[in-house]
Amino acid sequence: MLPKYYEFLNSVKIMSGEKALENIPHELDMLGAKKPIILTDAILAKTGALDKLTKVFDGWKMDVSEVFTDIPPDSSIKTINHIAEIFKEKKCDAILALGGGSVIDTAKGLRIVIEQGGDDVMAYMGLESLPRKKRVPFAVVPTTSGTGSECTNVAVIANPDKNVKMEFISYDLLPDFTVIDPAMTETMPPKITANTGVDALVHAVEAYTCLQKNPMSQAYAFAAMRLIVNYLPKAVAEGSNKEYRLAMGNAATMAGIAFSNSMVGIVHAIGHALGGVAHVPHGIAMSILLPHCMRFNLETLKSAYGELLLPLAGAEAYASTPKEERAEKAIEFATDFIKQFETVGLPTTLSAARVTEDQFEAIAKTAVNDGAIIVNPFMATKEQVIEILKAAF
Amino acid sequence: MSEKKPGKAGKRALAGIVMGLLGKGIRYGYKCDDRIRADLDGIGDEFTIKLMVNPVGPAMLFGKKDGVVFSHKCEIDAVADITLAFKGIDGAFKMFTGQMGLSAGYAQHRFTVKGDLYKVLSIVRIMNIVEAYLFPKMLAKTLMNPVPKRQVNMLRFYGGTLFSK
Repeated sequence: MLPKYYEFLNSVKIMSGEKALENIPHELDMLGAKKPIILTDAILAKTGALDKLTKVFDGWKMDVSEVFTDIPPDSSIKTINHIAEIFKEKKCDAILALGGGSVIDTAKGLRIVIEQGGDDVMAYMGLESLPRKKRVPFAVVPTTSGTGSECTNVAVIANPDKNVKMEFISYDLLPDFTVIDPAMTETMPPKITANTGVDALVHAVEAYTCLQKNPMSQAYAFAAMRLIVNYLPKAVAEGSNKEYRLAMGNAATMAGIAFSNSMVGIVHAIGHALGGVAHVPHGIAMSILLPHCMRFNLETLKSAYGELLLPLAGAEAYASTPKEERAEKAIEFATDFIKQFETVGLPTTLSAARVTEDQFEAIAKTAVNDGAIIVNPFMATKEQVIEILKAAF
Repeated sequence: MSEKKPGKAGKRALAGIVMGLLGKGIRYGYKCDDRIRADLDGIGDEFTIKLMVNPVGPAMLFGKKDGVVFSHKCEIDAVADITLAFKGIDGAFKMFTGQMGLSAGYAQHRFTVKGDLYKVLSIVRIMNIVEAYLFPKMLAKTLMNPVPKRQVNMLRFYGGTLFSK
């Protein structure tokens, strides 16, 4: 059934495939960039990914000497405001982000400050409230296949002084283009491949089933789920295979487009809180929580979860399962799918992720205030979140 | 003969009345419902939240000052810590007259928010609880899932909302 009203936008040009990096200078040139600032992190600078990127600018009349690598694991307002000063001082005119979610969110925050004016990103917190100003060309090269942040209208930025995370939702956060090049993810270790891949799976599952779902986002979510179940185990087992890496890069981007247009749900609400309170990496939190949150939502989402069995388990399993059993089967499939990655060190319980029971109260309190919970079809209370945490322990 | 529906001006007038009732409900709810009290206290000791309908109102401010919860009508350009702005009167009217819940309004992009989104969830919960008192159960069920339980009975809540200071 179509929603009574929905909105959908993905304006990001997607450049996917081998040697896609090579086309970045041309695209930036077309956008009028002469001096992009490159944002990345210290590890990517050390492992050679940054060199691979800067090398493609050889011969181009473009100054890529301004590189900022000191980005913390959680993008923070202080870092963004600091980079904004550098951007203005060095007269940069574009942003090129190379990295995972934190680097990309930092780049999104930087774009907000530069485009909107002022010197503090905090002034622009909100939902769909940023007016369009003069555009700063903005490109993203993701180095993980999970966050989908290269195609989302969301940024989560930490305020270390208050120990809270601030949320920004605006179509203005969408980059101009993104580059999915398997060369950027082929050295990702199996455990990180697994947990970032499960993050993408959760984006697709929640985008397909949450209150803001719409036929466009569901199409992307469906396609992302098919790719993930087919290619994630292969990418974990054989990381150097470019086909598998490219498939996962595409899956993560599609899942990102899906949830950018329908948001997520309770898995992310609790997952964000687990990250904030217990410092559990996001992908690991997603891996632990998905089956338990699906059980929590089962009564409300029985029909939608039943539909998930098709992209998850395939046509034969879907057709041979009676309609009333499909939702349960989909949850079983998701549980087993995630469990297979225990062999590469992926924790599937909160105790294995070193979360302690005395943290439950704080996690639950944070989770019920997370924006993702508003579009979960059942508005969970703090007590219900604690029950989910107990089940996942 | 078809039933006459209110025009834009009528919708704005009615939305303004319900907005005022919600504001009073929040004030009374702070006194009688510990969930509303906890959420308002959780937002902070001093804050202002503006509800407004674009482009010409109505608009209302509520919040806390010197430990006291307040609500009153305001100009559309009044400054607040957090502003929930409905994009148009048709969407706002549906939400203020129990035809659409806040979660559905969010899902349908009916309003924008300026300010800290992490505090908006408290506002959503507070509004849901107040609506659960003000609207009949059958109607509330179509607006939110689950419907918050009433801690005091509906009549007492209406009385307190309309007549207490």
